[in-house]
Amino acid sequence: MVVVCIPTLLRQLTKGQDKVVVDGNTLGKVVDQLDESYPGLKSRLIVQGQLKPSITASIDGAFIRKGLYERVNPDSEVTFLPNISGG
Amino acid sequence: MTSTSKKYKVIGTRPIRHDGVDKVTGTANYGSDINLKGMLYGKVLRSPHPHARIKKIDTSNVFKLEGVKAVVTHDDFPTIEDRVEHSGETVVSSKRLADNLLASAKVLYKGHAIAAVAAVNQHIAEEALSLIDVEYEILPFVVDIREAMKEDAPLLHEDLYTNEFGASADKPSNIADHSQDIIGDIDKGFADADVIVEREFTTAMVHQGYIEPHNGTARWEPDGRLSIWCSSQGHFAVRSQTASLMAIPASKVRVYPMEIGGGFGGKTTVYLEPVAALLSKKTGGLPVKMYMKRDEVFEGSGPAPGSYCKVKMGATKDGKIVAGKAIVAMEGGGYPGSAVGAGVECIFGPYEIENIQIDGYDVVVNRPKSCAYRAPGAPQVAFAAENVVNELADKLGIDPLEFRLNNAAKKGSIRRNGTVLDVVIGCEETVLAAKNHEHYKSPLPGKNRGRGVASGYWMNGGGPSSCTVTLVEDGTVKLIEGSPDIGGSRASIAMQAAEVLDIKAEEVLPQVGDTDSVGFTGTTGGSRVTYATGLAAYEAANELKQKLIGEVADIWDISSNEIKYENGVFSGKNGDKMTFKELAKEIGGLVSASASVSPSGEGKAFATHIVDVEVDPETGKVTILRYTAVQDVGTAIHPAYVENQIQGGVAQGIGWALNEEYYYDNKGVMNNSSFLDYRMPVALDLPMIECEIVEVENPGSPFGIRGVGEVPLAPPLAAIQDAIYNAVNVRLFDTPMNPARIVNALMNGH
Repeated sequence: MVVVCIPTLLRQLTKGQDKVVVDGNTLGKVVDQLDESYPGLKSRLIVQGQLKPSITASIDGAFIRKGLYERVNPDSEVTFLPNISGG
Repeated sequence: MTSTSKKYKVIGTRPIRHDGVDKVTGTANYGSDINLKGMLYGKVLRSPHPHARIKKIDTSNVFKLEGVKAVVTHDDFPTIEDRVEHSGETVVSSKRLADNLLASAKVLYKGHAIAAVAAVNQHIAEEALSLIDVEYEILPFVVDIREAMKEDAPLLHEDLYTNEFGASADKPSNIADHSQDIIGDIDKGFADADVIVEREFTTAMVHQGYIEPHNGTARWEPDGRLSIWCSSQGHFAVRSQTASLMAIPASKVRVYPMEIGGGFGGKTTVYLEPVAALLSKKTGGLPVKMYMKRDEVFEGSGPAPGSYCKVKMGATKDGKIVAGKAIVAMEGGGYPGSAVGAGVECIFGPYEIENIQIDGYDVVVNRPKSCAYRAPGAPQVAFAAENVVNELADKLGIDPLEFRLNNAAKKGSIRRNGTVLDVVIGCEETVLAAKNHEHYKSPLPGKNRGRGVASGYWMNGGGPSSCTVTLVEDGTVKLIEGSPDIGGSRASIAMQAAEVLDIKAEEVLPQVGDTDSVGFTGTTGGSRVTYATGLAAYEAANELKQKLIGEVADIWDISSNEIKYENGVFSGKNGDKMTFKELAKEIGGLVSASASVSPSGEGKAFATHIVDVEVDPETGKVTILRYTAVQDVGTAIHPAYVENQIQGGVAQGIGWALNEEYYYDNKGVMNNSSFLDYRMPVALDLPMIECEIVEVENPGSPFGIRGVGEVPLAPPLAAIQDAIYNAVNVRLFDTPMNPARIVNALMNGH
């Protein structure tokens, strides 16, 4: 199962849980599964079929390069993060 | 610590830089050196007001001046699809980017571009600007970040709603974004603490201070393609941003990278290139060259954001930090997108703390749109957190470096977002090397003298890079990379290819290719190039080597796996030998190889600095007596360039700490937009900056590389603050710590 670290500002949707587990072999499928278990999460993360511009994700500590198509292993840890912008 | 020189033949040596002769003889071509047939010169009209609504722009009079060929305003941009533009450390909305280049409904800072003129020479173009009539409705302004965050502050954008991880607030605000990270139990952490320190800090908006102003030359070609010549940190980003603003495909834009006279993050976005393109289009395709004057660079480009930080930390008697809480707010300038995200990532970066709460705020103010500046966000937050760490150590009676060692981040440490650090880092090693350094152990006699220390963290970057290597018939190798060389990277990339190919560094001839000549490459920023473009060179060189072995196998009519390649010589099982040069002569330039990579195994960067100062209590002048920077660099590819990077970062940090600031009057106007009044350090202000290179190899790189260029700017502000405190017993919480501020603090006894 994929472990997803839930950002502080989204934890009201996961009943305060900071980590949850879901299935999915791509980031997109992980988001879909998250939304099934915790309705409302997808709309906070996705717009027009893509991660919102202000949001990115890391998988096992590495920033994603292929958006929602990024592969996720069964034992991966996924973290959603604000997109760091330097001006 | 390791020694690269023992492991490698080329890496760890100090060859002369490949572009050195061009640079020292003045033959290198920078952005403003471009001259094209029929070229026009473009100039920009800028707002005299910090905040105003544009009621009308009348440009009809400019053509009464002989020699004026074109004029453009925001209305000349094609309809722009609003999308996110990525460029190195920058993420911007294309609509807001266009608005920053030529204002539409409002001007948001003094110096905001409004219109541009192209004429046969720059004097006529400048004169023509005075013929443009702009009618303004002056609006209340706000340049102070804390004022801007108040509910009753003048609103810069009526359509800006605070974003909180994908959710928008229900009314407009100058706070563009609020982030929050909580791990552990912050209240319990403080309850367990024996000592708690809480302080507030501000840092001033400062400029990168690159010598070469922004520039760009554009020409529409007869076939509808657009050519651009400019100096930037990323010509592929110039391509994508310009294509987006011109509403044409990226393949229609070709960007030629010129040499760059400094960038430090400030040249990661476009300012003039799309405007020159608009002007060129209006003239029917004549080339238009534009460059900024120094006051335009200060007022119309992207400085580092000023900041407000509130930091509270608690520790136990035995020297363990048990809680860290911070509010970090940074100035986006006229538009959202400050470095606050990176600041939040870095603020407690050097430490292992179980209970953390960090709130980050990206705030718009009536100042230029802020941009990246060498470890964007890290110096501001290190100034705050490192001072609290020093004060905690002081209250506990523990040596400040021993205190850092007790709490240093390491593999397995939990990070502020709840993830666990699962790679080897060199945080402890740098602190230990500083603690054992002769500088730290040496006495510092004399009145009003003090020693300070601070640590810093920068996450470094990876991302897309491309490289092509081609064998030349004389036995050299041409290398084309996509990364503009802003810090000696031609050499560091060439050396990695040379190491793989087992030839001399001088035998690899690097050049930076234009956007049609090499594969996609991300912006030179985030301390990513030596690591990521180096990996592209490593992959390409390995492929070239395999192809060459195949060529030799073909010549000798044996299998490739029967051939060994060592010391530039191919050897067969039957005793046949052929040198690299002999093979090159035999097969000519038939063989080349390319690689495009996007690695994400960048190693984190840590540094610890030691500084001695003397404070003149009469004048408040601070003299830097001695400075030592200790840094984990992974593997020092070219140690001299690594030292130069460290020294450069420290020099900029000293300026930021002691003198530099955007000084605004009560009309919202910057009063010091020249190098005469904006006081950057010069050689006379600086001692020889000593560098202690620590090498903890990055497992994510075949050569163990970590980026080195940015983290040296993180610790200086805090280290100097600590040294001033130890010299004259006053703690300063605002930069610049200039003579006036120090004298004032001494007079008030705090």
